[in-house]
Amino acid sequence: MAEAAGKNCYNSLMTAKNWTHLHPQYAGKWVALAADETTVVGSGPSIKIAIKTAKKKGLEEPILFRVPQDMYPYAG
Amino acid sequence: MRVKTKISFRYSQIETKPFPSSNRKVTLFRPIIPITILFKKQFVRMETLIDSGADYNIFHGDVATYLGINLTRGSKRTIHGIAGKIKGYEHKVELKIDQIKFPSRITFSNQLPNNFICVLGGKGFFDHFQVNLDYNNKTITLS
Repeated sequence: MAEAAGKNCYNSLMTAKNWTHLHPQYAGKWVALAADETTVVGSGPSIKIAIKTAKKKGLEEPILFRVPQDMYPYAG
Repeated sequence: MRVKTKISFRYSQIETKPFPSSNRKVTLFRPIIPITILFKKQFVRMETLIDSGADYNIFHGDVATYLGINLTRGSKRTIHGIAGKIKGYEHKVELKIDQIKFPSRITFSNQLPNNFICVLGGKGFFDHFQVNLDYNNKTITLS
């Protein structure tokens, strides 16, 4: 039974997060995302700088993602 | 530990080229979810790829540095992948996914390739959740 649904969880019919804007603009950088997981509120060559730029925009706890330098089909 | 809740996330939509010199774009979807990594009083929220083929949780060494973790004081690990092998160091951390917090371990490495996305693997993630990846509906459900 479903019991929990926090701010980054979704219980209704969903569409994918659109990240097509991240590459190539932020290739190789850390980006700080807003709670919608799509809006970029900060970026930089390090986590610290990405968070710092996000905090300047008023977002204290952004979600970090390192955008791959090259965006090609992938197998880990 | 198995959780008694059910939480859902969305896939991430990205665009790639099928090969470097191509002018064509291919749309792909990846199961990337937000988590929080906690170490002592420091924490960071990260987007991470669910990778059922990975044995461990593997993250960039930058994340360890940000959290104040002394990278090389962890347990040594050698990770083999499609492009060769890398050295890393495993550390005890706590992970928080939605409202669920649990002890886990992450192998951090400074040798990961530029296109690497931090992954959640078998030990420390899949041993806590039943994971349903619904590619057609672009949803990820943990229970």
